Amino acid sequence: MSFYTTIIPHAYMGRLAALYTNYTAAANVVTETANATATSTAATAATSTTAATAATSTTAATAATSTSAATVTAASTAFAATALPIAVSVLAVLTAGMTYEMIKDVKNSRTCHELTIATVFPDKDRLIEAMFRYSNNQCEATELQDGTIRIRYGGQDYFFTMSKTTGYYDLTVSNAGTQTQVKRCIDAIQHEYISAVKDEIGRRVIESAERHQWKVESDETIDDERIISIVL
Amino acid sequence: MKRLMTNASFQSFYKMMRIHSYVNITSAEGPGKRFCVWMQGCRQHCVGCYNSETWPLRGGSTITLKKLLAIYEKAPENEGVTLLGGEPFLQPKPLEQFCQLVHKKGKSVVVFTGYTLEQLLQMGNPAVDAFLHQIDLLIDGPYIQALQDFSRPWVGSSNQRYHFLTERYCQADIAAYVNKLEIRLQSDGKVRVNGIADEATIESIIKVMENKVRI
Repeated sequence: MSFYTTIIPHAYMGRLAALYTNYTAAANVVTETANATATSTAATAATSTTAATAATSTTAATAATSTSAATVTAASTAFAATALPIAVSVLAVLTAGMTYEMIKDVKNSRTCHELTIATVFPDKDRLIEAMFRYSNNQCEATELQDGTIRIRYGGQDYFFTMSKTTGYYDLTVSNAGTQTQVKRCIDAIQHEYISAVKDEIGRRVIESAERHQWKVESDETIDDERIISIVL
Repeated sequence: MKRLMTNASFQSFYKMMRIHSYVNITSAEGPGKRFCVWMQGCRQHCVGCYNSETWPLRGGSTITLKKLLAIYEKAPENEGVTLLGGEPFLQPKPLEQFCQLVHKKGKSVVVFTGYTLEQLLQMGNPAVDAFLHQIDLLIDGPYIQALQDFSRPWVGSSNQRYHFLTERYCQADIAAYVNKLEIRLQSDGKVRVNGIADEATIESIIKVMENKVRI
């Protein structure tokens, strides 16, 4: 018998979903009204949607756990213990599918005059790193007096402003740009975000192994997949 | 003109099988580094099974023999293939063909089954017999929670047995391996875990990963 599961930490997946939800919702409203006020409204609406999605996922995950636990009351602690991650996994995959579906609805030819996207980054350095990667090192990054990070690239200005409520940097793109460009930018940020999460989870796993005095047999990356092997 | 395939072999090459998932390279599911496939569908329903999501016969996804072989060939450094599940013996025909192709490349085949070897032999099913002929190491028997025992590599309960059906492996080879867990941090943001460990260990590792990540 061998254990196998897929996990997507819900906080992590929730933030990715938020990224796409915000982007899509904001972009749709911008197309209709093309002004900053509408963009701001859209950002608020998108935040609510995200919160609702996250709440639903949590509830469903809890329900799934309860059901599983009830089904296996016959001293099957193993199943009960693993029911939660499996349930979360399924839900998370569904969430990802929904967001990709939403992205497909956005036509690439539309032009965004200005839109605001809630990002997932409180880390300034990694955010700038993501933008440099996106622009193939062709961008110019400046920290303005109010702490806003301005990235100038391809005739567009990307302003990253730290949100006082969330602690994350929100992105505002000004000047004309296609949604394809903006999506590429978001993809770059997302890629950097996933890398950061991989680093963080990897650090935790290794720290946990050391705490339990398990041997980390190997820690290697093959085809962009990091594999940590632990001998218990 | 050289005939590449018979009509029958051509059809089987594109025959579908149902799998739950796979990993290209693992060192936690048999001797050496291996390509590992969790088959979909199992009727045993062992109490305490860690992989209950592999039980539904119509779950998972379908894949052709051709595609599975193409994925397998991406990691030529592997020592062989491990098939587990789910129940591999619910799909003996395509798996027998797959393992035949694996053997032709000089690689080994390890299969886990919830049936005992005796039960498989008593089935009188030519497809099952043919599949058995393609297996180097068969690990048989259902997982019995009351007999949980992780002291031997890759198996979960003491009733499960290693059958060395060819000379490829022997008991001394097995003794060299220890149980381990592999945590895979994928580029799409998913984290996959495979291997052998007790519930408390798995739970603690998953808890560590599930806590909110704030970058």
